[in-house]
Amino acid sequence: MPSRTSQEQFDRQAPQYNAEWNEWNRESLAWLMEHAHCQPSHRLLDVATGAGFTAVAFAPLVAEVTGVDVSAAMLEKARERARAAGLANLVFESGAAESLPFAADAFDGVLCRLAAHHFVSPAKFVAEAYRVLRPGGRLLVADSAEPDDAPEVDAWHNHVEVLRDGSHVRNYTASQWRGFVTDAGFALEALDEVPESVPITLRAWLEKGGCSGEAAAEVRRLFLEAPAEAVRTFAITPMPDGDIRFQWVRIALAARKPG
Amino acid sequence: MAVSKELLEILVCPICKAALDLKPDGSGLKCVECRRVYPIRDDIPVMLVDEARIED
Repeated sequence: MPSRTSQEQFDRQAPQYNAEWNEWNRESLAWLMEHAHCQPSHRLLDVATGAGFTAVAFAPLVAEVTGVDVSAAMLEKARERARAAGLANLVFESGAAESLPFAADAFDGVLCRLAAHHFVSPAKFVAEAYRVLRPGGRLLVADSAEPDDAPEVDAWHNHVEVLRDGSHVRNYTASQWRGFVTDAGFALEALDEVPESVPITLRAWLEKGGCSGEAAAEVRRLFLEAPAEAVRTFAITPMPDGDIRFQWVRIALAARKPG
Repeated sequence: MAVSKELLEILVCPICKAALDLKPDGSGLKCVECRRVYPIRDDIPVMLVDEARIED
């Protein structure tokens, strides 16, 4: 179990949540939109919707988007975002990814963007997504990931993630994701690494996680002493102003429930 | 309208996946099987097991 629940972490961080952080990985949003095959009649579920960035982006394309999250404070942010966008076809509920409060076959698509690394059991989430999707419906996931067959990089990355945010559980590899979706019965349609055009800086990343003091200093030290393979994989680059720039590996997948 | 008819049709108990009844005073959603009541706060149904209580 993580040292802090996602509910605690995101209720605490919601007041400081900065919409610009969503710009960090716009590419994964574009990828999901391209592979979702949305129809105007579709009803979508956005799991771990957070501040509602993904749900609001999809809402104009479909009949309705339902967003669920464990954090009530983040859902309030999501509702504000929907109101500001002038969209009336979004509804929000508190709910957990591993035990979704929806009937079988209720949705045409299930979205989950940059959140699954917080789930206690991604396999349970994928099984629940399968249950709530109608036959022929699609699961679309994007998340931070680890490269396959790089245990040192994997260990370093997940270690700094947990230090920075105690509700981080772990990032998975593309092979692990392939296993989660095929084990649940999905037919995998596409699984790609999604490049990021905007690098993240360490200061902003620590701020987003609400990480300060000794933990922040330890994360910074780990970045400066990162194994060479991690430096290469994540393009970790110290900058003249003392900050550190890097790019995480993101993957995105589309999987279809047969039928 | 806090919880729409359409939403009620697809919402189920996250544990038993059974149907839910809207309480007459609109304060929560009650599972027809396990009797757990999920509160509705600020018009948002809180479908989390830890926040539900079992009612007779």
